[in-house]
Amino acid sequence: MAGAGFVLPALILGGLVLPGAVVAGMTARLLRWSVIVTLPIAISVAIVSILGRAGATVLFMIGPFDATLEGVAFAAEVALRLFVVAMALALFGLTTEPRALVADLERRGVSPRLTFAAAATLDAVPAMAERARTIQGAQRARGLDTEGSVGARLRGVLPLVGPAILGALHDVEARSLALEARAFDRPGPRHLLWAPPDSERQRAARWLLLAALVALVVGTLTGVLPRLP
Amino acid sequence: MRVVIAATATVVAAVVGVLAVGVFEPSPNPDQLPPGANLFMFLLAAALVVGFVAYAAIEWLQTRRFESITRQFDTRTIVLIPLAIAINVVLGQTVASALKVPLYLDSIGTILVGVLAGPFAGAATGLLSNLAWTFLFAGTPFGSPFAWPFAIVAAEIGLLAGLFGYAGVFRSRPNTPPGKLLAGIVVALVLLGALVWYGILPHYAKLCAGQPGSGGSVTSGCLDLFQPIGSIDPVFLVVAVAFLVLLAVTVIVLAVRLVARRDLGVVYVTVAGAACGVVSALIAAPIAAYVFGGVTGSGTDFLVLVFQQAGSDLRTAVLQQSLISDPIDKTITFLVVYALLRGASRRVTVRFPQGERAIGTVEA
Amino acid sequence: MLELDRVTYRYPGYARHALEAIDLAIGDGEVVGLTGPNGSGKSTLCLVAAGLAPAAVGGELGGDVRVDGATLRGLRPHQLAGKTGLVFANAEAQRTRVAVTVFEEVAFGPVNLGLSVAETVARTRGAIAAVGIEELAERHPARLSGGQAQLVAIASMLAMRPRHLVLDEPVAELDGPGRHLVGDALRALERQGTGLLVAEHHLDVLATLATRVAQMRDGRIERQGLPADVLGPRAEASRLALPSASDLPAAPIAIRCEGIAYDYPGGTRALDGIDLTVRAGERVAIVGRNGSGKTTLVRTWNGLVRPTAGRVAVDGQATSGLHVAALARSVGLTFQDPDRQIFAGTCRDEVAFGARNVGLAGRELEAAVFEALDAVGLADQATTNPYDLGPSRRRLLAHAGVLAMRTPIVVLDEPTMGLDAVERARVRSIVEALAAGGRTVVAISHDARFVRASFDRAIVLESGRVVADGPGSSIVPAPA
Repeated sequence: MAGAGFVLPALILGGLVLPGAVVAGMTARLLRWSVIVTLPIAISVAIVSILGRAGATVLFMIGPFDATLEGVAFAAEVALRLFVVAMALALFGLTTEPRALVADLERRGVSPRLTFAAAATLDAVPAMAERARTIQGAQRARGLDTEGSVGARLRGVLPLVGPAILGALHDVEARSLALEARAFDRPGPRHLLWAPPDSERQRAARWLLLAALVALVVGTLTGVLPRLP
Repeated sequence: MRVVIAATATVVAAVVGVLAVGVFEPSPNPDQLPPGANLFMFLLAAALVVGFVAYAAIEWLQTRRFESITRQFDTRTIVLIPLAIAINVVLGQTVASALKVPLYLDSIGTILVGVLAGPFAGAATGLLSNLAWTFLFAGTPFGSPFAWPFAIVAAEIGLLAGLFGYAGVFRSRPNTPPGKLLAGIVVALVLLGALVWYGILPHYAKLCAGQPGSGGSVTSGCLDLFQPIGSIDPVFLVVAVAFLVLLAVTVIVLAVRLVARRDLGVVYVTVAGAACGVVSALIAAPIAAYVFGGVTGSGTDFLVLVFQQAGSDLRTAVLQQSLISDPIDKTITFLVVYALLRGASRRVTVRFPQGERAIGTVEA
Repeated sequence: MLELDRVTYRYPGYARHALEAIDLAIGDGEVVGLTGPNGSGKSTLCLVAAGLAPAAVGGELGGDVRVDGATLRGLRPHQLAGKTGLVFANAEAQRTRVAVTVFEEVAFGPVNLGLSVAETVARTRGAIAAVGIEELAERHPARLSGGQAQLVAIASMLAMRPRHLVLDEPVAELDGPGRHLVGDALRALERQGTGLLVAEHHLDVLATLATRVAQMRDGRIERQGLPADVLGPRAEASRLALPSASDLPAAPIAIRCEGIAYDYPGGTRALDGIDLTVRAGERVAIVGRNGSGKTTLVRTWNGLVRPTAGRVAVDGQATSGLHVAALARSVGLTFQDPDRQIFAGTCRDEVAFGARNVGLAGRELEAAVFEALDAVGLADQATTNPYDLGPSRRRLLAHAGVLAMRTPIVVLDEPTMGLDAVERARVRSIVEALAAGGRTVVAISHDARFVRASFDRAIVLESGRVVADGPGSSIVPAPA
């Protein structure tokens, strides 16, 4: 009954993602990250579908909720899919230098403004975290107690949000002027100083993956491949 | 003109799509989303694209340029977008996911850009935000592999925020005369009522059908499953209490602002937030149901379980959950952005493409 | 030749003009200095002269701005390339944040111009050589000292090959060595024939650099002429008779550091065995180059930095185990960047933030807030949004936020950075008033005049060690 739904994700995981990870030598990191990001949502899926899904085979009851075998099967299937998605993305993320990705996008004709935004995003998240840390330090220095218990630390989050966002908003002016002074607004193509290396084999692999993607989508839409029940 | 035609094109495309694929029965059965519900999202996305193309085409025909679109992506916007994405990611990831509050809070940056820069910039921020979350940060502590399916929802939020900003919803209106204030509140309540009555309640009709005269109110006890919950799992209870506390805090803050500053602006923002939430729920629910078996890993998941146990199938339960949590989340988020914009210097906001229109000038 | 001809300018969203009837010309190879109190329109004039206002800022320009006779009117910002360039005080704000090497950072502009790779590389090399930072080319632009980062910002503009360079307080945020680096680079540009417009409070820099100085007030140029005529005799001398440190040994010890060391999480040593005693009522300046550990040292006093070795006692009590919030009742400390310490929507709430946290309430709170705002000259701005104040007044507001906490020890990080003469005098009188009230004042400062005039003791840090400690006037050399 449930078997069909497991085959394809398991095939992708075992046939593509895991070998890729082994070749890249980062299986452990990949697994750790994927488990961390999948676990909370998988637990939610498990609770909701095991207890919430109607089915013939009742395993046990908790209050008014009955746990069914069908629910367990469904939860397992969803969790596997999510895990495969996480693994595939982690393989991409850990093997791809983000700046190489951005440079490659620009080389392929994506607007320099868009690639600038993407590259700046890479810097913006740690910068925002750093800004939050500094603000929190300044707030502590002015007597706001956010140390110690979990409760105190949570209370410290709220007064942080406003100043961090407003501070960032007010930085925009100076930064955009600095960019305009360096011809950022000029339309038209640029000659990049650097582009990530590419090879015949990589090109072939990309086409192959693209073809596989199309096949999967078509297969799913036409019902040849199994969907979630 | 352009806007009207584009909106018409969007609606026509959606209707044609629905008719062509036959996703919906003529009279949608309220207790169950049709089996092709996931197609609905593709249709909606396609319809939005058609609307966008129509808008752009008309502008091109009229002016031979895309000025009104490109104008929203000036350098300030380009600098703001990464910051907005960082705000989304950091808040969405740490605050919402880690604290397990029954909120998403992952669209503050998107709404900020929408309001200050315009609908297209807002939509782009939402889209990029979820893509960055998934692809750019994959493998890092800030990465979330499950954000990309919701990119269309994020785009819709930015788009709506931009339109509301264009309409001046986010302007401050302090010291409104009492009469006008009252009228505004009444109109807002009517609008909210209509929204709830037509946008939300029909989806719960089946749950309350057995209780004649209960009028479809979820809280009036027609959901007898709410009683046994207390005896089941304290975790659910805690989440539910947290939810109610958040709601209460919002209402109190709202009331204080209304009474102390007589600021009608918060009323407008509340209605806009709720409306945005309903639309988001309608788009997000099929995605959550299809991709994740109905969960998001946040504190809202227990509601799905409750509605499923009340007799809804998974997809309906997810929709019912979304229609409760999304409007609340978006209302709170809109109010947060409103408060942020009050704290910002107008010297700064006025220089964004839509800033003067959305917030007002510095001096009269 | 850069000419401003009867220029008036109004910012978007404002009804009044920020600039009125400006006539100014900068010849090739000429360096024109721009002085005047903060808020007098120097930064606005810089934006207009660089052509970025209104092109990038919006607003409304009257009169005309011309480069070599051709108007800048109607030009898009990228069309200004080769004509004008703009550098401002904050090097970090000018960083693109997408470059991972200094070379890439400097090349950003030429790449935007669509130049060929060879041309981009040539220009970038040239610009890097022009300011003498060849050895930094492969470094990460975020990991430079303040002076180095500002040189990168200048090189980034030079790579656009502007005929004229406008610099808005280029050395305001730099330490002494940083100021020398930038000053030398600017002199080299002058020799190469680039016209410079330099807005600056550091009159020493202007006096040695400028061929002509224009003084601004209320959006107008009040006076123009030779540096010596406009700037006047450069004697902001220390006319205060300071009590010598030897008057104080009887006072109780306010801060005692015993052998403290601190390593950054990465392993870099920031403090390397510091022994130090500060007595109640003393005025102590901490000086030293960027990165010598000054900020880290003062942050050990209120617990923001927990030393990896040694112990710190404040008012006789060990700080270990005490929360920062608890120590904040004894040690009030500002941060160097005022924009990271704005937490409220009005100046009044901003100043009340810390005071309330340390337990002031009611009348007492109100009085403390008013007193603090008054001391920094912002009493009439109580309901203003802090972000609506100019940068120098935001710094003063940060001082007020700490003053209102009424702590026995007040620590100010770079209290005079970016301030004009009037504002600096205000900070000096604050320091005097605090000391007169028996409170301990510690300031980290690069401002030699300020240190010599207002502090009875100076401590020099170098690489996390105290290398000198004694009377301010004998340790800190008088500015040239």
